[in-house]
Amino acid sequence: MSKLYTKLGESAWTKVDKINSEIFTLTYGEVVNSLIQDYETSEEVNAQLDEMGYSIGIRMIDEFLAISEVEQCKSFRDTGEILAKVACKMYLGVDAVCKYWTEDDSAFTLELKTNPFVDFVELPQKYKDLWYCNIICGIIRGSLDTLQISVDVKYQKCVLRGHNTNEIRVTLKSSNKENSSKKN
Amino acid sequence: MHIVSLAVVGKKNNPLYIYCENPKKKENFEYIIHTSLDFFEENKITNNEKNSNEEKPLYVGLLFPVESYRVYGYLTLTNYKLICIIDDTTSKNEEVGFFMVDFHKFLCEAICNPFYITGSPINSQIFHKKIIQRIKK
Repeated sequence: MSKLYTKLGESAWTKVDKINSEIFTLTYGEVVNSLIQDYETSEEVNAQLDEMGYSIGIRMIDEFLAISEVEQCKSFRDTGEILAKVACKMYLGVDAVCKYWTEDDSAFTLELKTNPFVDFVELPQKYKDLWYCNIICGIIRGSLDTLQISVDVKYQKCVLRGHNTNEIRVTLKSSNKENSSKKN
Repeated sequence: MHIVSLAVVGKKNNPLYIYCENPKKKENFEYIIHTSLDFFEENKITNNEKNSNEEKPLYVGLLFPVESYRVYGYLTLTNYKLICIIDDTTSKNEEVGFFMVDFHKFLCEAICNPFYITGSPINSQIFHKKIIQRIKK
């Protein structure tokens, strides 16, 4: 099944338009800078980034489903795999991995070894509590929310904070099991 | 090629980054770097007098020799001055030229950091590490 998802991810990646990564990274950097100037604490900026991501996610999900042609998910585990192998590949060009599943398959960690958002970035000491790429958490939350899968998404590790990889923890809060949602 | 000191100087001739292999001689090198700024100005004037259709290279080359050192310069189109002080007489102009190109590349990457305020001193640890690694090559 995961080979299928990898193939779907690669074919989706070839179908989408691409832009220069520097313009993307620099633009996102300025967005974060601008938020920092408007809000005083790192926590508020994190919350804002999450909200922005949510807004993006609720719109992005339809495009994702149309281009990637993934089928209905049978379980949350499928959801996680598709998120890692298809969505991350299609939108970020990154091969992500799902790991640390809980026993009842209700939570997992999404690991991104590389992240195009963080090229050239170095977090200064005064923003050490900032999750620079928190927008990704919002995007995941927003897209899954539109599919009636309610999740809690939190950044756990970030290379900008000195960790060796990027990890996002996705925890299922509730899902409308009768609908047995199509997944993002 | 034995590099003893490196510097990045901004548009307003303000120092943005200074590296000295031997921290005790830092003041001495700062003085040398300061005097080298005049040579950039001279170089600009002589270039303006030449035919303006000629391509002006970014790598200025050997600026001047002082004591036992030789000072090389590189002027970017955005008026950042990269200065390199070398301790031996065996290094070739081209070799220093290649180093300067890499130095310029590292500078560009440091400037791309959204948290870096242009015109302010470069405190990036990553920039410093890259330079040290490149020097050791």
